[in-house]
Amino acid sequence: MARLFRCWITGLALTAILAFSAFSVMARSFDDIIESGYMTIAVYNNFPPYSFIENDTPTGIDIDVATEVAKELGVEPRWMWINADENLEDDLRQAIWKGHIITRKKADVMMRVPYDRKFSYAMDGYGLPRNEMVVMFGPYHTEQWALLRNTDKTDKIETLAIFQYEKIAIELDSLPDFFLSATLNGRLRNKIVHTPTTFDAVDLFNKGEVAAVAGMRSQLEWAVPPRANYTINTVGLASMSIKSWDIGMAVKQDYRQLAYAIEGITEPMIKDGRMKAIFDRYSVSYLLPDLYKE
Amino acid sequence: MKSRTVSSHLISTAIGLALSLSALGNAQAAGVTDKDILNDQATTSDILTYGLGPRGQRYSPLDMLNTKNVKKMHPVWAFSLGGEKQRGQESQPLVHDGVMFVTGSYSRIYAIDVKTGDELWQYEARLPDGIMPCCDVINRGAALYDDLVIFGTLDAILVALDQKTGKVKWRKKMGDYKAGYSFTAAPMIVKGKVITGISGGEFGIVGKVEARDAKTGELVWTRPTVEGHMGYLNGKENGITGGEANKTWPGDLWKTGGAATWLGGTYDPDQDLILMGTGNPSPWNSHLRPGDNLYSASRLAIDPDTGKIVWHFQTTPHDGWDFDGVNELISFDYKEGSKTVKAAATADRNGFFYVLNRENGEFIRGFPFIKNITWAKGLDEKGRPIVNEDSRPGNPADSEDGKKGKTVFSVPSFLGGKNWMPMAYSQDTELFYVPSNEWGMDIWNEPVSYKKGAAYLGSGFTIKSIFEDHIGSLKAVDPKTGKVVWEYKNNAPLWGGVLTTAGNLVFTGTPEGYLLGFDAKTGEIVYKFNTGSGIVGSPVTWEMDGEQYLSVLSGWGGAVPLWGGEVASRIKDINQGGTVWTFKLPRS
Repeated sequence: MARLFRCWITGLALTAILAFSAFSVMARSFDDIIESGYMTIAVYNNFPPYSFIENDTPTGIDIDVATEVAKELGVEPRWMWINADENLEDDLRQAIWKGHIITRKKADVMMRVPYDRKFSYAMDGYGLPRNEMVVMFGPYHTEQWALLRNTDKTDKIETLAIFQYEKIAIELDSLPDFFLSATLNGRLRNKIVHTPTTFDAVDLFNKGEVAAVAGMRSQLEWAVPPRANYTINTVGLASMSIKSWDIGMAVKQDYRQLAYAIEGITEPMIKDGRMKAIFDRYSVSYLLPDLYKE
Repeated sequence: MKSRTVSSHLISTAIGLALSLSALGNAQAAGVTDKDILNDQATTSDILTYGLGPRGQRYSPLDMLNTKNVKKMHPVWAFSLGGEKQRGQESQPLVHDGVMFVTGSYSRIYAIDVKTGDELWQYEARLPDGIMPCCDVINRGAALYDDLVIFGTLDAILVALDQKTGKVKWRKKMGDYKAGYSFTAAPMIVKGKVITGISGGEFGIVGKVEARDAKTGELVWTRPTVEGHMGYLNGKENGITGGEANKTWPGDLWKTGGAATWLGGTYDPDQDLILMGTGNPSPWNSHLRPGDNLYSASRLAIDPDTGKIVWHFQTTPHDGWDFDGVNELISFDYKEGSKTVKAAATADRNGFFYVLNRENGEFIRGFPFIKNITWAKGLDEKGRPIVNEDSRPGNPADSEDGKKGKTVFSVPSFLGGKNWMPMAYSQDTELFYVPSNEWGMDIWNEPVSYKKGAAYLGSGFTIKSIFEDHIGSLKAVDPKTGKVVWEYKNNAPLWGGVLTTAGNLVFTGTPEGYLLGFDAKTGEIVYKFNTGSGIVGSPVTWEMDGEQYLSVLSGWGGAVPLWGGEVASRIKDINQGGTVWTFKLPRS
């Protein structure tokens, strides 16, 4: 089916269905989680450098952050690997408040959930809250869009105009895809190479088939070791509607006590440099979330 | 990768044994042949195909049940699909050799003793944990061939089971669910081949039609539905769809152009053509892909032997409203003076009803079948919509300041003047009975969106009723004039299929749970029975031991319950279910 619209609505229409849903599983209280000795953590499947499997071991920034949180809570981390759906509302529904449509499993907390008040308190077209089933909390870093360029091909030209002549690879249906396809009246459109993921785009870049890749800074930095003729920066993307955003976590609306406890762990991690140390391990720049800036 | 339970009910009593022996005695349990399938509409003692015949007319020549006696019709048995897995039951039952085959939500299939309602066996596909099915976990039905019953699962596997035992005979992967492929339609058998489309209008996939040897599951041909992609026949290259890439698509977007064939198709034996519809183009934002974007939102006529596209008709060029072109194209003949017109008709998501010449795909006529269409002013002489560009959802580039873009009110809503639910064509009244919905949508660009940990630009919308007293509207449409002969209005949106019979009857179900029977000529309600949950399945009728039976699945779900606001208020009191109801007249 034409998925975009149909899956979007599942995210919108929660209240009515949810209240009567036969699927509701009893929420685990904070005490239940501590007593059980484990915490289920939803992370995106195969999504470096945040969460992925390497040598049969869960690896990545989100894995390390969550492991540290679990350690301080005195529980074992258990991973619920989720495949991303069409949008965040779908993922929150499946991972946090309603459960997966087939397995009905849920997680206690989900990583890599944007921390954006405009999003948290957004209303749907009927004037009802879009995300009232979850609490989004605990920003632990800032992600941003960036351009990876091979300066042998782009020379000293830092404006986007170069991409009328040189190819640029982008993950299909990402915000940079929308932006670069539409900007300059669509003049870059024929030089855009669409790929399933940013890493497929980086592969083309490494083979010399494209001059640049647009994507998330953390992914580009993790995927491409620094070289003299490679640059990763945000030059040219100033007029994107959203240039950067904070990343935090989410729990179900009635799990606030768990959210407070987790925030009580991540906040000191940010302040005493342990958070940055995790990002350093993956060669990713650590950008402080807005909440913790001066 | 499967689990199977064979019911202990199978021949559990001496009576059961005697019955099945006598059934064997009467008609030797022969496998279903191509000839049987072609004759399905005329042979009233079985239902071998989705659509009651390859043309999909959903017309039965049975007339034992008629407008006078139908009020006495009563249930003879009911069969529960059981478990907690009671979600939308959009299936159409098949009946063959004393057994009813019914698919259920969550990729399940059941064989039921058609005389008693006893379960003979059931098969439940084991679905992978990581699967993310769109919309709902529905299935629309199976196909029969030889001694096999064939159906597809949510993780895009085609499974052939032994009709008698429910044991797996073959299993074939139609696509990778991890890439977004899924399957919910009923497969179709054409000339010994099982023909399937594919679900998953997800970004990065391209629709396709495939033919496999029905007995072995081996792939014979595959035909991608987007211009620029190579088709294959017996493993060899068989021509690029549309000749070459980039005729109607910019850049490399044709590589991921969508056009999913998620509802399957029909077959016209006269022209020997498979008629298959395609979904919307991708990405959703039409401003990024100027051009007609062939063959999205189209009907394709495909040679069943080679997989070549013989003709096409695009209902919504350069779609920007999510008007999938998948709705069934039903072949029918009509007289114009002394001339017989070989026609085919479809009621599109976009609100227009089209009559095509099925010999060449040429447009004969078209007209709106819902009220107040906003997105187009009408159709031109070739059937192309005269688009009202003001009603095209806004360009996201205009929302680059991070503000909500302009809101457009569009009729019909993206759920369509008619969605997947199949209409019926009566050879007696020469009318189409179209299950339609009257609704619109506000749609805008939504800059505060996220996807997989990244900022995104989504699309926001609300569905709105147009009329106070109804959204659902069953219409009797004259394909020769465009006239609506009668209309039944229903409070909730209609989401179930339609059946018509030579007994001057039309049947359909409602979300409120009613199986409704209508006088085919006048629209008068002549039958009403509450099945206990919403009906989103398609009714069938057949004959057994000199009596006419009717069956329908009840079980609320599908896409409708996923909405909020004004639609939700019309359906909030409907309960879940999962039951096959079977009816007949009392024995006199």
